[in-house]
Amino acid sequence: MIHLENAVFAWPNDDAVIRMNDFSVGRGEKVFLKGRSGSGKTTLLSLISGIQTLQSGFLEVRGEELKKMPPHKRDVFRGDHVGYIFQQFNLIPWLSIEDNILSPLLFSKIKRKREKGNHRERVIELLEDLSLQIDIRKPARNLSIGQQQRVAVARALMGNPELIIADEPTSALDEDRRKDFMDLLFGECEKRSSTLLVVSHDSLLASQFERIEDLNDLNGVEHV
Amino acid sequence: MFRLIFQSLMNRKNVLILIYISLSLSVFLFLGVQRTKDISRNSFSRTISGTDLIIGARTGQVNLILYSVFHMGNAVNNMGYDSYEKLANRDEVAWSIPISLGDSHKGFRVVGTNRDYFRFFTYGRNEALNFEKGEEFGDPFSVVLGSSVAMALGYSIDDSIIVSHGAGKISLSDHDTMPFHVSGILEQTGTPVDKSLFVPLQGISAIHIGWSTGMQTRKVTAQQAMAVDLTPESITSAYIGLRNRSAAFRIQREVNQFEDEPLMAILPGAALFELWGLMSTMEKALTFISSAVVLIGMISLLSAQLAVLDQRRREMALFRSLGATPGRLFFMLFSESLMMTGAGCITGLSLLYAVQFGAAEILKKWGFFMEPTVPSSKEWLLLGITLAAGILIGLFPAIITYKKTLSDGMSVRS
Repeated sequence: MIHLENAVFAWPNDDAVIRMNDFSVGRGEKVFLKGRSGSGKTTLLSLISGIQTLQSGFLEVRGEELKKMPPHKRDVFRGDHVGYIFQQFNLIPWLSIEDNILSPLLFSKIKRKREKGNHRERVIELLEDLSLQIDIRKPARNLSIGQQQRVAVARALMGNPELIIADEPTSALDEDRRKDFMDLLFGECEKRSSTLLVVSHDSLLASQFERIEDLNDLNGVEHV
Repeated sequence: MFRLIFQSLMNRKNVLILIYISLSLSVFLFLGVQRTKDISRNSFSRTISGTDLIIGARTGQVNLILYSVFHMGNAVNNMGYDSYEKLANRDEVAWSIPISLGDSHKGFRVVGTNRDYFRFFTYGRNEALNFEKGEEFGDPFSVVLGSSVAMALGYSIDDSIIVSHGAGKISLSDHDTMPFHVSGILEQTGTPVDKSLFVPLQGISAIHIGWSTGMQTRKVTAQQAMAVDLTPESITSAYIGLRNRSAAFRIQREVNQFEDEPLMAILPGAALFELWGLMSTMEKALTFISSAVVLIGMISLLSAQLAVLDQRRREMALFRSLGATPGRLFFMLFSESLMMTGAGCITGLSLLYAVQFGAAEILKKWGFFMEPTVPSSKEWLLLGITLAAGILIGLFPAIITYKKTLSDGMSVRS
């Protein structure tokens, strides 16, 4: 699913932050990537999701080399094949819960095609899966943090993307809920056999992952 | 996509409604000022038409047209009636109307003239005066009312009217021994005619018997007055219509060199033009103020957009993660401003028409004559400029967002 070789990336006028000789994630694999803040995790995720491109080296996602795509193709590619879970969930407060969950379909034809049929029913199904009982017509701003996190997962799963990326997905949660959340996320990806890449500094979350990597070991760049 | 934009706008509806109102009002004001300008210029130039020359005692041409046509201000001097007759009887003259000013009735000017006024005076597109009720003068003590006078004072045919000496609203002395009776009421014209009362020159002469230098020295009754020769000694000015318009300059020169007394003749068109020129400063000031108001509306739109830009970075990052290209986000923000300005322009224009239709009657009473017309090409141009300014201003937050989303990517560093 993801394949990096001799990848080098640096921000303009800066030293390289990413220097990875070899890193691959297979289709359907669930990988926990451990990294301290400032270790270049967010940069790595930007690269994998095609927001940034490598200065040199090779990065392939889903068999396609991102650097060779024109920028707008990369955006469409991301919209079509990636589900992204943010640190702060990034729900749109003024949209209804339903519209938040359906928002990935706005920008992706492929996700739209995969979710053919009644969209509302799909939303209800997804929320049932996530054992969340809420009025989906209400705006998202009224949700509690715990609910927001589930809605964010539902959104990432909408349209069944092959790759789910989560960037510090539990940082807004308290200790007790982190584990529940990870179970949920893991379970859903398992069910859909989607590839899951979770990046976090918190190795406690990694318990059920078959593969745990440390970004510090992978990344040839020394971070202080 | 548009639903998303719309919902995003709705989310900020409180602020945006205010901005929408201010944009609408500023467009309304902007167009309103332009239209009022056009209308006043129009009603201005339609006050008199078909008259080739106006003759009066020597003064400035603006002054002469102000008092003889607009009935504003006072004549510096009168002209002798014999001079008037001499000029009026020339071969080149097709018709002439004597005008004698100086009296008033409850704040409305009384114009001494003769029946030729109703026959030859034209305004607008050479429209003649028509009687709504009654007819022209019968005897020296008849009075014909302009429509506004009749409406404002509630007069009808055969009502009796006392004319006051002088032009003030509060009259110090009335010609109360000789009342006039209403013989006719004119149709509305949207010109100063509406606000005037017309009496025969003989009537003017009659009520002034026994007066000298503004004081009544002896009481005279109407019967006594009728026995006297009522041919006036002097009049204020005269409208002249020529057989051949091309003679106007020659006659003008001859009047200006008239030997019996110092007179002057003016071409109404030229005088109106000069008078309008005097008002152009105010006109410019109004245009400036109204454009400033539009600018303020735009700036408030801009500031509202910029104020929420930081809050919206998260939103933008999300859309990026969902596969939105920076161009698309640019388009989203740009459409927001466009929609706001567009809505403001449309509402402002509708408001203008609503007011114009709603207030048409009132405005006509004030002497503004306007027919609600489709926006002129100039107005379309102004709307276009406003819209373009809105678009330009909308580009700002859009460009900033575009740049920020490019550097932020999906992570919002705050």
